[in-house]
Amino acid sequence: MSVFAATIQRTPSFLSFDGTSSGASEYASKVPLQYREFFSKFVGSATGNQRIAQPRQAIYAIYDRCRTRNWNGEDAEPIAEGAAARADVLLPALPSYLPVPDIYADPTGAIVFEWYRRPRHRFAISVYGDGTIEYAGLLGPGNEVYGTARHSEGLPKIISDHLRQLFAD
Amino acid sequence: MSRYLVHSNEYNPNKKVVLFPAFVPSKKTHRTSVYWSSNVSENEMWAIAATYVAPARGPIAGRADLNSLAVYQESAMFVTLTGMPHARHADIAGWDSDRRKARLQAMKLADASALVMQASD
Repeated sequence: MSVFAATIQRTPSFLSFDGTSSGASEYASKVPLQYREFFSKFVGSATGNQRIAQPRQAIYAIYDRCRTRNWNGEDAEPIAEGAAARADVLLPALPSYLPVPDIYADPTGAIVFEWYRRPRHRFAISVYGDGTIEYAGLLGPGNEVYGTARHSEGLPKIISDHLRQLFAD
Repeated sequence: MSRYLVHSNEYNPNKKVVLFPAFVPSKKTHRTSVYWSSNVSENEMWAIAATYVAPARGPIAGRADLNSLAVYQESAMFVTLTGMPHARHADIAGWDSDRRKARLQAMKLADASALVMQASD
């Protein structure tokens, strides 16, 4: 794979741009401010409301309901505030071609994003407060995946690869 | 057999699917509680839930009905009849010790299940 192609594959969602600038000019210093204004307007739009604001509300509502031990009556782990915060940060990093995921609580103490297409075609990521993301997926008959990734900048590549496979047809 | 559903993280009524947390084993027992449902009427299934499940876990929202073969398709997993607190109570056991693999196992059982919502009054 060429360096160019590899770069394109790794290019994160623009919405996950953290606004920092390494430039030293007067104009470079304006980039973070302009980005924050753009993002704020986007979240307020109909699309932004659907893709960011509503899921964000769902994340924190889940955190509020599941922050104590045994929240499900079967020894569930509490969901840490850090898990909600990391899930919130991941929202704008999700590729725009993906539908908004279903969001719910994992009894092991994580926030789950799941994409369901049809039987034997579903993929879920569990986001923990320490930056760990565990994933599991059924990507067609006989095609099963599970594993761990690390959340640092944007969506880990292995997760975006599996999602691309889930939505390949 | 059936797994009774209580919490909103266990099912999606809009998509009519069961979610993997429905089957994640108890941290304490490493087992998942189910009830054999062969030749049992709907009324009796809901009565069992109201008497033996709801007091400990909360109001019953629905059930995940699945064939026990789905469990046995997973190596090392099995269903064991306990008979307590009800004669039809059983446990799904033999979950993988790796939490990530166990999550996949739970996802497969959820995927093999049919969601049955309890009719609201």
